[in-house]
Amino acid sequence: MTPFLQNSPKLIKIDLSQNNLSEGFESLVNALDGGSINDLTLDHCSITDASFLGNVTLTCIKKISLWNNNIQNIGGDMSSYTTLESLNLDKNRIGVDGCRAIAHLLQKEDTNLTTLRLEYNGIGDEGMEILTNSLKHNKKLNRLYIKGNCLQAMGYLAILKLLVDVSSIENTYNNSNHTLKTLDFDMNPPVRSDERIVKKMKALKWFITVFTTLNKQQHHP
Amino acid sequence: MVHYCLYHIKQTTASPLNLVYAQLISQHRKKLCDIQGIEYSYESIFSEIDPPLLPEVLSFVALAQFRGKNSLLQTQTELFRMLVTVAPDLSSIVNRPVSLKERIVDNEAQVIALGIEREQKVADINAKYEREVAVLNAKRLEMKRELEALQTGEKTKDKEAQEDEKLSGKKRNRS
Repeated sequence: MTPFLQNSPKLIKIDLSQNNLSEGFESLVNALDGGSINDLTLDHCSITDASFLGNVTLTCIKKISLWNNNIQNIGGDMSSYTTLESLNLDKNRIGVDGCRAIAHLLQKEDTNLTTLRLEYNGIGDEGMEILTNSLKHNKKLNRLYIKGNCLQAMGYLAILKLLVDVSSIENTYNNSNHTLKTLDFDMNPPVRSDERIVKKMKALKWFITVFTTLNKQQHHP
Repeated sequence: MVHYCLYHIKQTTASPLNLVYAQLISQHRKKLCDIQGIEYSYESIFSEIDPPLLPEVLSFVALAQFRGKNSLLQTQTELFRMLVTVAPDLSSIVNRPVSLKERIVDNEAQVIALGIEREQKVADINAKYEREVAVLNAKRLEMKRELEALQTGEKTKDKEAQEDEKLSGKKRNRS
């Protein structure tokens, strides 16, 4: 298959979902290096290591879907993927390192990523803080899906601070994210069944919903 | 109105709704400060407003408080509460005699300005009155002349008719 891919300069879309690519993923990615592929779908392919993506240059890539693999390593840096508009990593195990790699891309001024799916990835509060820090000045990402992760109050607090930092007018105005319009999340039951924590988490959920709704209503010049 | 007011705080239209909801409505700001572990006070918002913009900001405190039809502004705004809190301090530093003298001077200037305005208006009304009266007089004169002309013409016709009748009577008698 590698020679075919290397000699198909007009190939722009590949969907090899539901094939076992645990061994062949590296060869596949290397074959695509420098090509004009813009849509790569490899859902349910038993891929565990996606770090090879960091070794190649996909200058036209707009959509990558790696749904329901078992990816635990997506490489140290995804910052070269600035053309990417949609990244689906639902149902993997990217953890903190994965969040860090994606954060590099989200921090870039020329990023084009508008949709990021990270549902069921074992992301905890630390990973969420890394993501929210990278989104502070991001003006592209407007859909973030983070259902089914292990977030607790600190993680939700990081999200709320991202949407509205009330420490000053300046921070509410210039250092909060007004781009994120869809934030799909669920509320995990708190680890400590402290009534105060439960109440706080409810309030966090309420305010996160309010501010994403306000972002939707917002008119941006 | 909110958008207009916030425009004066910072001349950009980015995200005013979030700012109003989070910073200018007391209940929300208090809860958000509590959740984010930030010390809350009415005055803290005060120091962040540029002094040159303060009159604008204070002017819309009143507008927001009394004219607001938006449901967001039905509740007390943070700025209003802030103002209530600091009002006694602000009043105490005002130099009352100087302030009163300035207001008296302002008052006198207003009276003079009103007098000038009144004189101007009276002059305008008089000029307009004279113009309209002159037009009406001219019209009346014209109508009178027309009437006279008509009456003079009728009298001449009557005389001629009478003379014609007299001549025809004489002719009949001779025959």
